[in-house]
Amino acid sequence: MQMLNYTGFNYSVTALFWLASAALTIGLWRRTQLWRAGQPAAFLWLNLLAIPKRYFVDLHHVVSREPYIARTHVATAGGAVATLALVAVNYGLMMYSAALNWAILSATTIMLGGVFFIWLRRRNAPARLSRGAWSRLPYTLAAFAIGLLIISLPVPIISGSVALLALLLLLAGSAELALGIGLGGPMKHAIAGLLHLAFHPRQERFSGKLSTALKPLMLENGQYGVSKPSDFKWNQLLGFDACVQCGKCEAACPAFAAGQPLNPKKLIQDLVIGLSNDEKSGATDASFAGSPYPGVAVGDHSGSIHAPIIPLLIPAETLWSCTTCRACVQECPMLIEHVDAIVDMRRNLTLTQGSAPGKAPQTLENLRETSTVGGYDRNARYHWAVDLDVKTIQKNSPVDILLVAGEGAFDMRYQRSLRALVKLLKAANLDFAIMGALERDTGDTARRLGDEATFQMLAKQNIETFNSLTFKRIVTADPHVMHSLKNEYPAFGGHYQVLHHTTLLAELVSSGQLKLEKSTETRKLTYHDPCYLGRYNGETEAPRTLLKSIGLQINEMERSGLRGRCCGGGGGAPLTDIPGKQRIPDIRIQDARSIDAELVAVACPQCTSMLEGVVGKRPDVLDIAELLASALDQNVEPAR
Amino acid sequence: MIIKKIAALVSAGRHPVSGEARHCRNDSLAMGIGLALTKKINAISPNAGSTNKTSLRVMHAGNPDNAALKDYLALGAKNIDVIALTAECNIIDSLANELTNTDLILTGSRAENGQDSGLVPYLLAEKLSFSLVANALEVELTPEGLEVLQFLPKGKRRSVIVQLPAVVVIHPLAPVELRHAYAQQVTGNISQHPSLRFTPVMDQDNGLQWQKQSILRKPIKLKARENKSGHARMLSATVSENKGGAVVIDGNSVEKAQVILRYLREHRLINF
Ligand code: SF4
Ligand code: SF4
Repeated sequence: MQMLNYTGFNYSVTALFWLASAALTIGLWRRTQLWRAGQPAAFLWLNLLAIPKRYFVDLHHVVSREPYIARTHVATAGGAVATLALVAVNYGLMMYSAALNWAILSATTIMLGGVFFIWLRRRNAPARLSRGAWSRLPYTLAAFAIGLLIISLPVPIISGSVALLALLLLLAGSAELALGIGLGGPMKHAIAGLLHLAFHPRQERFSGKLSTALKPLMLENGQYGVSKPSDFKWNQLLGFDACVQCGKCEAACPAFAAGQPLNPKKLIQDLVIGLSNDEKSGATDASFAGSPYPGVAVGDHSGSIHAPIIPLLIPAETLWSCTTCRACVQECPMLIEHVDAIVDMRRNLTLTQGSAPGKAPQTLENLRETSTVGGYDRNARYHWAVDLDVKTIQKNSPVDILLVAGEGAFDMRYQRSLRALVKLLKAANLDFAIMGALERDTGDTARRLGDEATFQMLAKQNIETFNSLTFKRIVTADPHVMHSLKNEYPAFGGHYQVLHHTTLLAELVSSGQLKLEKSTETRKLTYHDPCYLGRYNGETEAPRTLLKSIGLQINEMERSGLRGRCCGGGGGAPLTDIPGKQRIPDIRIQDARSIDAELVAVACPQCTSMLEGVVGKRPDVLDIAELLASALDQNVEPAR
Repeated sequence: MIIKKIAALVSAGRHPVSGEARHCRNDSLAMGIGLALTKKINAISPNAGSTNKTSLRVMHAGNPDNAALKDYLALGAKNIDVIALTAECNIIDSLANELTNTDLILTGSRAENGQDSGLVPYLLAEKLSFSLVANALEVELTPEGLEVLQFLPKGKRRSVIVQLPAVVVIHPLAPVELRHAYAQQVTGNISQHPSLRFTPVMDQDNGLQWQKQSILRKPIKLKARENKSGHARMLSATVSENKGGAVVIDGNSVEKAQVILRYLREHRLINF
């Protein structure tokens, strides 16, 4: 009798396994249909093979910044995968071997341990975590693990009621795993996440390279960005679906911190709502259980796959609040590309409606009509250098270094930094020239504001100019200029070696070509990493090396280096100027104040003007070039 | 009051700093008002057949290849009818010939290029015997006629009713939001008007024979130099504080003059 019972029990686990597998397959097929509503993108089956490496190296690199959750996840997910594999063999293939049962027992124990710590953290969850369905997860996972644990116990305790209980628990857990994925429950992150690693829109990220350049639009093919969810590439949609609502992006987002109506996590979730509904179901964000867009109520946003996203699903102000600082991308464990999504949607608004708010339309008009952001005379860009005796580059007269000043050249404050830089370049006896009236804006601001047409026009004109000149390297003090020229112009045929001034100066100092004294500066100093230098170009060391070389000690702020906090100046955000509770530069200066810094070293004209715009008592703001120039050996007359 | 045919006249502008060809902003405002008015009228009677619909015709007299025209497309013109003329031609006769059957002609106040006299709407109205309202900020169609809100100096406004057909000259400060969209520029169309059977006459008072000279230096307002840092200026702009200076009420006119003289000397604005 006992024996028979036991066998019957095994059979029911097997049945459950196959039932769940079927449900999973159907659910998965449904999910893939949703992703396939997106636009075509390069697809290689072979990429599936890359998943393990990308999971264990690239993804884990991000997750391990928070060791607690990294370990918990390893235990839970590792345990679960092992358990599932063993169950598939032992019960799926009807082996019913006792030895495998032992293995299942240990795997589920590990999983249960992981789940326990998840549960523990959930009791005191940080605000960035979503609740709702995600709060259910520890319980359903625990049910799954406990159910299997009982089943795999070696002693035949399978009396009727316990057996029933075990089966019920297992049923609940399997429902989360199998049905949940197809129905868009939290566990879909496992499948979507792994597939996203394989078919990520920025494959370069996995070869150890930075991949930060925006992808060009084929304007001539009528590509005007994203209006409805189905305008995204299918692998972008897949990426959104991978989001685990961990809120790390939210915690890093400067616009969210400033109370502007942007929360990158909510943005991704809204897009998930959009991608998973067909035309008929006007599903809303009512079940979203995380922080809202600051100041915007949750519950009345709805959308579907072929319906315009703005304004019903996502308010336009949300998009225009973003500084494109990439802090969210840097933090996202699922390697989701928020900035690409935001710019894609901005592109549509700008190119088809011209509806960028605030001063953005005026700026775009200036760029079209004068090739400068501020509507200035291009001939006036290098007025600050008239008395410095600097060469202006001429066709047919080659130079080593072409100095591109960027828009900061029209700003009286930043001209001081530029003058300091010229002084340093002269002290190092470099053969360099400025660009003079030939320089047009790189179009960086236009591009971030979604005006791809103006960007491409400027890019093509600039490339034509550069190609008519002879130089070895381009040096600029503006990381935004650097990013455009170095990372984004290649797509239009402009390949140049572009250096940030700090990189060049660090090179000169280490080779001894630039000799500096120790600085007389005694104030407590910190360094603010520009997003477009750090996260966009990976340069965090040269500025620090330089400051150390003149004997300055750097007191790091809480967020620095690749995880630095934005000054609020990027992405055209100061132009669209979406109101919040406070201003981003105020928050950044507060970071500096909280470590009692009296001096903030910067390396970007935007950062300079944003941080200097903070009113009230605040640390002084000086460009690294200015600090270095004041440490120049006064006795050595620069060669003329 | 029924209005069937609206025309907006647009000219080729020129950026004052870069000299780049661009739309003339004031003309764009006129066109924007025309677009909004057309849309509004057609929205009231949505079932009118296509022949009964009110239409806006955007017109330019000049070079059809001028790069400035594409700005008007981007700003919302679906089509621009161009009467191809060279700079020496008198545009009034050509325009009048094309616009006889129009109910309402909208123009800007002044071009940014060429003779820049601001007289085109007046000459046109005279030629066509249309009424003319200048300095218009808003235009509204009412049963009595066209209601135009006029700009007057010092923030004053005046509302007038004008009978059609009319020329309405839009003021540069008209509250119109211009939206420049690249996609519209691509789909928009520039056509040389086919029905033109009119030989343009040469302008007697040919602008090209004029002598040009650069503007004279403008008088400079005497102002004490501020020696404050950028940060201090920012502070005084954001925090309300005493901006300095003194109010002199006591004393006779000579004494008061002395105070001013002293101030000017102190700040080296005069040297005697
Ligand atoms: S987008 Fe990335 S960082 Fe943000 S909540 Fe989702 S998984 Fe976390
Ligand atoms: S790029 Fe920066 S501002 Fe934009 S959503 Fe991400 S973190 Fe927020």
